[in-house]
Amino acid sequence: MVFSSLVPIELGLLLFTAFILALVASKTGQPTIMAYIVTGLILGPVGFNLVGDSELIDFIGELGLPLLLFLVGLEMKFDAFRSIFSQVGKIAMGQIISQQSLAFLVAYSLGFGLLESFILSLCTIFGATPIVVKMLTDKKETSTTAGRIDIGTLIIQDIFLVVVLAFLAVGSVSGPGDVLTTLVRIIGLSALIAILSYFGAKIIEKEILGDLSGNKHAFFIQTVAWLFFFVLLSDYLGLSKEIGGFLAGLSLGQLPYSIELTEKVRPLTNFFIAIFFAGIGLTLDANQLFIYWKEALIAIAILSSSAFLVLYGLIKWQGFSTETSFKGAINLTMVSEFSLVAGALAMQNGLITAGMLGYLTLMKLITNGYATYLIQYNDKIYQKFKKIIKQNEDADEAEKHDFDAVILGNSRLDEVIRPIVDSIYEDVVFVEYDPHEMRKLESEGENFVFGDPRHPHIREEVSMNSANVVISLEEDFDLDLLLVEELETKFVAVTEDRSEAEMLKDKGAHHVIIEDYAKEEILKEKLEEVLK
Amino acid sequence: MILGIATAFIVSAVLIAVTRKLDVPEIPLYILSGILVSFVYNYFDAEGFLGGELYGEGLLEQFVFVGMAFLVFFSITKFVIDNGRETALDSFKASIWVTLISFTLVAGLAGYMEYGLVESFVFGFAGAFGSSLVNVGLVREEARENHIYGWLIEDINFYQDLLALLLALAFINFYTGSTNFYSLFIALGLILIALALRKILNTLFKRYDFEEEIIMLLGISTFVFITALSETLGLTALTGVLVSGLLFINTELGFEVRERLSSIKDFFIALAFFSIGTIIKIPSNQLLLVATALVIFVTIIRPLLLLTFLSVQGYDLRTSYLAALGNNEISEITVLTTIILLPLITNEIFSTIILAFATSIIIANFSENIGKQIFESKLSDYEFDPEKQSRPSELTNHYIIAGFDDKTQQITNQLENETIIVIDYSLERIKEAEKQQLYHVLGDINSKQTWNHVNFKEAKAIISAASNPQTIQKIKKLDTKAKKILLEEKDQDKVNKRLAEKLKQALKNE
Repeated sequence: MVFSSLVPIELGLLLFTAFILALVASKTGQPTIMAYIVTGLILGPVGFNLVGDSELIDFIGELGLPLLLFLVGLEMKFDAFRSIFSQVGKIAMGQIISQQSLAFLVAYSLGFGLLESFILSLCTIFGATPIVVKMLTDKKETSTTAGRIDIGTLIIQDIFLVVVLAFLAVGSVSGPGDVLTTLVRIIGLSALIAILSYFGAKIIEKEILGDLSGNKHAFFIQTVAWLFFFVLLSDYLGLSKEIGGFLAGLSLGQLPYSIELTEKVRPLTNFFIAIFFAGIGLTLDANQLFIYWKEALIAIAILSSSAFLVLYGLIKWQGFSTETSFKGAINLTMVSEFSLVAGALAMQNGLITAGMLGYLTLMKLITNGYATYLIQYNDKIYQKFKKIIKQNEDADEAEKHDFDAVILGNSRLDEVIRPIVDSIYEDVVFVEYDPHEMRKLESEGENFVFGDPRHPHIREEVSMNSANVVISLEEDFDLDLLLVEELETKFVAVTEDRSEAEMLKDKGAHHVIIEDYAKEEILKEKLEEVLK
Repeated sequence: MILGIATAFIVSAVLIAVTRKLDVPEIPLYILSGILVSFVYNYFDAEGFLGGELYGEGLLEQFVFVGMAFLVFFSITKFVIDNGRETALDSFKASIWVTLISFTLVAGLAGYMEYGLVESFVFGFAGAFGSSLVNVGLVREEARENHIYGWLIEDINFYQDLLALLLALAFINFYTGSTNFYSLFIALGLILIALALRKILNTLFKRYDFEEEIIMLLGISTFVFITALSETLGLTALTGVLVSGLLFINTELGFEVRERLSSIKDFFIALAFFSIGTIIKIPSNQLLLVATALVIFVTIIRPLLLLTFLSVQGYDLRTSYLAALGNNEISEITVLTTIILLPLITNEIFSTIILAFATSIIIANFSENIGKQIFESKLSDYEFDPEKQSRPSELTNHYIIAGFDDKTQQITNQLENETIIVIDYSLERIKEAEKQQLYHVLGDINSKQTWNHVNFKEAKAIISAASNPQTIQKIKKLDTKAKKILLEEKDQDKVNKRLAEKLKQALKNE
């Protein structure tokens, strides 16, 4: 008896190669998306042709995009950009219009047809949200003015992109009138879904998520079901699945649970996206990839430099400093992975050829190659060019909000700790995972972040190392050990285990609260009275 | 392709939301979602409203296998065995005997009922092995508190999982024509290599400081690649699952991999059980009886067998009973093995196993609390293990220390020349009492019998630092003139005040 293949070897090969290349990419400062595309190129017709069609790979790839857009939506926090929203709005709109017009002109001058140039221009987007946000987070630049401008611009770009994706998903359009009708329909239906998801999110937050947030598994399944509901609805209404994913994420993104949800969804998205981008590499053959290589090089030279110059001018125009303008602009000189997403969708619907997708892929690969280093070394590059471009020095003050004290968890020791912390420190923030405690903090007007402090992103969110003290009330020894090693600031932990307390002190904890000692003293006093 | 999966997720989410107050485990709800979605789809399809398949059939099988294999891989990465524990050897012996007897009984009965070799094996397998799925959260909590029955459950689960994997591996290798004795030999070699390699992998992880995304890819690619490669080389997929899981046991890398894969695992488990729901069919009346018999065996007879073995080894009735309560479901490894053997059995047999599996999980989920109540009301009069106690023939005017933790251990200095007897449910703490030459009893302070055993009525004082309000109430309600020295709710203010003073000093001292 021969058993049928239960796990396709193609999937194994694809994932293993992706792992090796992603490891190399991460050690050379390149984004992992590059590694995934190259994985597809190596294993597909361009390389060894080892991986062909697989239903499982197709399925995972198909879910990749709605999930990615869901994650993008989840991470959008409108509150963070309220103060600079109008300036960022002007910058982003200016960048989108000028960049898309320029991309159209370049494509048309390079010999592509009118409609193809239009589609290619829609797909030529500068500024890759996941990569840029991740690099800025790693460099702790998300809260600088340049960082906030970039992220704000990317958010508006993403919204534009979602409309583009919905437009491309429609397929053929018969003329300018049809384009307009389609756009109006897309925007109208999207607004309808957005309203539905916004109010729906409020209801499920109140009625369901609170009850289930203690059960991580059930909480996660509710989130995935929420995504699927809007994906199906959007698909049924003739919009793209991606727009459903994005709006589902956007509505949950404004809830206090969003950071925790993001951390649950991120690994799943990373997995699906790895296969999606490898899938793009698999669909190309060598001829298609290199058929427009000269055009791609010319387009990169013109569009990448113009992306920098246009954005620099726009940020400066809005009154920001030279340094902010320079750094904000240099961070957005790479072609977005959404170019490939949009390109793949356009190709599926017969709007562009596989060769044109190759043109976009080459642009993506080459611009990523250098642009990641531009972000990595933006400060050094600025220092080199400072003398040339700087006219009037106006110091750019980082507007990072640091807290004096960070308290993890809000346990039974809250009444012991809070009055003392409040009496010593002015600005205190809580990191809370329990929704009921979170609601309590909210009603008491305290600063808080909802999430599990075991996630590094949540720890970064409250800039722990900038605080004067971090107090962990979680009573989780593994977490405390990690914190005592990671933190350069004063760290206070709570434990009931004396040997754990000793170990934490040895590792450098400033103070360990051991309830046991106090209880022991009281017990001894009571016994003494009885013995007397 | 997305329609079926999306609908199943939505239906599951609704079922979870509706039953959230009832504390129903999710897995049976996923299976039910699959059944509902498939039923509705087939109905509309028959009426001509829909066309085509709900999912591609090949894809469905892959979902089922990948999800279940992922679950088993994930469980293997969590294997931790502490050989230093006193319960390790007893658990091993009990696991071996219970497994052997259960397997022989159930498989023998199935053979007697004229089921074929593979069917009998599958039924025997289902009857023999328990699952760590349902109880894992609770057990770890109790094991962490060092309750002796928590240790027993954890150890027995470990040995049963290991035995289940080895038995499944041996049967699949021997029974299938494509593999043979040498492939089993190679599989065992690969297992040893994996155990040796895991430390190297962990060292590389520490040296190169992998990012989260890379750790996720490492975990999932190792699992998928090794499993697929095993199949391609004719070693059976189970070898791959076992080898890939062993690469991550008991290391920091393993912990990180589990953290990063948790949501992917949740997604694929849900997908696997939906898919199982869509393919199972209602078994014949005879097989429904077999499923019922299996559930009765797994939830009543096997725990009774385990209880007997633990009692024979000297554990008191309460400990044996509670440990046995933690072994009353069908293992997830049974489901995976049945899936691998699917080409050799009918859908009805598979459906019977799934039905019994889901029912046993629901029963196990509810039996934890009910089981304790039944014990306290019907079986509370039991003998204590003579080897785990030391008690004078006459016990009067004595001090009872209920719970021998760090706080109460310090108090014994104040009671020189007094008779002290310690009650604790942790083997380690009882050993500590023995070391300090104190009288002791291994027993639960929540059990009436324990108090009677230490003659609480004639005690001079009862000292406890227990923090559980129910336990405190229980001690307060004991009908005795003995003084009760407890840490009550009202003492918390004093505790807080002292802690606050110390914290204030620490924060102000730069």
